[in-house]
Amino acid sequence: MVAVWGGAVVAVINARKKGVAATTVRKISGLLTAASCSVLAADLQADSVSEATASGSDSAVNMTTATLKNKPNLGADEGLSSKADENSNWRVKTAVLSYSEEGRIQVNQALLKVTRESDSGSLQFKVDTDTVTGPSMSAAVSSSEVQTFSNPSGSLETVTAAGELPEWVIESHRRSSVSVNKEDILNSDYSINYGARYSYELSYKSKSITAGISRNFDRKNTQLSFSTLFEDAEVLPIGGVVKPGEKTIIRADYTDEADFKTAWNNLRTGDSERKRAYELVTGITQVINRDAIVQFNYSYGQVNGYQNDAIKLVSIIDANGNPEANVYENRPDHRERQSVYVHGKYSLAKNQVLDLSYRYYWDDWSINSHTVAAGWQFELGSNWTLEPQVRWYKQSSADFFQQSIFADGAVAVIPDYMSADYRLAATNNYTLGVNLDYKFDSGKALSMRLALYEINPEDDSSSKRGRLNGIDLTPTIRSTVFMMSYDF
Amino acid sequence: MGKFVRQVCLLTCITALTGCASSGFSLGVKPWQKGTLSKDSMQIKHSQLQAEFDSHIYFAREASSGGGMGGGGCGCN
Repeated sequence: MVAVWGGAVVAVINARKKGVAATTVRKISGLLTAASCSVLAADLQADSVSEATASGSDSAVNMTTATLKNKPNLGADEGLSSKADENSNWRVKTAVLSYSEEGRIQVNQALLKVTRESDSGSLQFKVDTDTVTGPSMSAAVSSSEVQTFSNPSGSLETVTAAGELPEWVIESHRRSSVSVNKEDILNSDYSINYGARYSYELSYKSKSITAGISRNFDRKNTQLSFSTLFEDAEVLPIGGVVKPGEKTIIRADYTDEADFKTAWNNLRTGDSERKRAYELVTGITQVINRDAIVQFNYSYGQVNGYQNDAIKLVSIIDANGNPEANVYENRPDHRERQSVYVHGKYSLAKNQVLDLSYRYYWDDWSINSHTVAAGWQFELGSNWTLEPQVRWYKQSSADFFQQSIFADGAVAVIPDYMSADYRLAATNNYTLGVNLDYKFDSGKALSMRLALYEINPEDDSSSKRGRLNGIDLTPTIRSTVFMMSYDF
Repeated sequence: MGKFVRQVCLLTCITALTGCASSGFSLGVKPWQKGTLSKDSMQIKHSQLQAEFDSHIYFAREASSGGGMGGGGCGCN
């Protein structure tokens, strides 16, 4: 690795010594084929062939000609271009997103992305914020009687009707994040990228950094890449960090407020916990022929530290399937995750592109999953693009997923790890979506996306007793996603 | 055992793909044949923003993440 970095640095120095023109040609060439840059918009085919023939098939010259011809389409604002670097331009992207679950969570998000692109790479700033409102499942089972819970902060009590699944109501939970990412194209073969991100919400603060390197081979038909991500997060559950496996309490169980507060505080260990995660991704992107390109990635990651969801409960039940009490969930503090991912693009015709991807994921919580996604992009005339999309996701359950603890009046045996969170259940999820893009003649672009997403978690049958056998504890969740973005 | 088999499969795939690439076995194109490949819609990271939004949603609702599909960075409810 040291040799590679050393070589890259020497290459850059050499390139700089050769003068601006040669360096620019090589850098543009690198920019165009680096998989992380997708700035080309025009159909270059006819021009590329003729220019290549005239120039004796020199890759760099060919690509440079294409770039200069394409430049007006990049939406460059001449007024903002730096005098020192004539091929730089600024791009501004804004987007709004609405994610709405039927009868549950609603998320509204807004985003602003400013990117400076130049021959030597790119610099990107991103700011986004979202607000979550609506009911979120507590994962406790329903009861044939009315149930009362103290909300996570202990400030008020919520009542769940007989037969209803208990849920917490999130009044308004805001998350905001800022990030900066930079890519340096060192020469026609090497590029590096690095970035940092800070995300803030009342119950979660996260800092992360990323770094990566990619190397082109075989006249840029092959690209190898390696990237890393490290995240350091502080988890601050609303109402404090609860003791896993302890029973929840309500105000009515205590004669006065002071006793309740003491008991409430005794169920908590503090305000926050730490979580650290890292991920390594290595990949190869290969041009197959003039109409197809394939990417293959392998990723390995670990998450260490607090991974419980402090608002999720597991019910202790009796033989009839009614809850006797509820305890706070507990997940392992270590998770090792891996995945393989393949993504292909195939140009079916001059104005149609097929996009296919597959991921197999597995981790040491015994979860594995298959994800298949497909999109079929049609260019309708010179301005409109339509892309129907489908996605299928199948997941197995975590080995500690259980929706109840059977006690039936006896002292409950609390397992080391347990969670009834439907996100750890076996599930089959589907997404149907459509994208519609409009590219203005000025180079600006408007993009809209509508998708329907369905989550179908499966109950853990061994958790069921009595009446619970006839009850779906993890009903299907249907949501609508709408996104709109505009490129200035 | 299953884990070992998966890792062997993975290594085989990587070796096969890299091997094909380095031997020049009918993979890849000449520079002047990259017209279609240079189109915006043919870029692997085309629709990056949409991919970011999607991966955030899926990260919040599914137990898997990573591997080119992104995700992460929230204490999602």
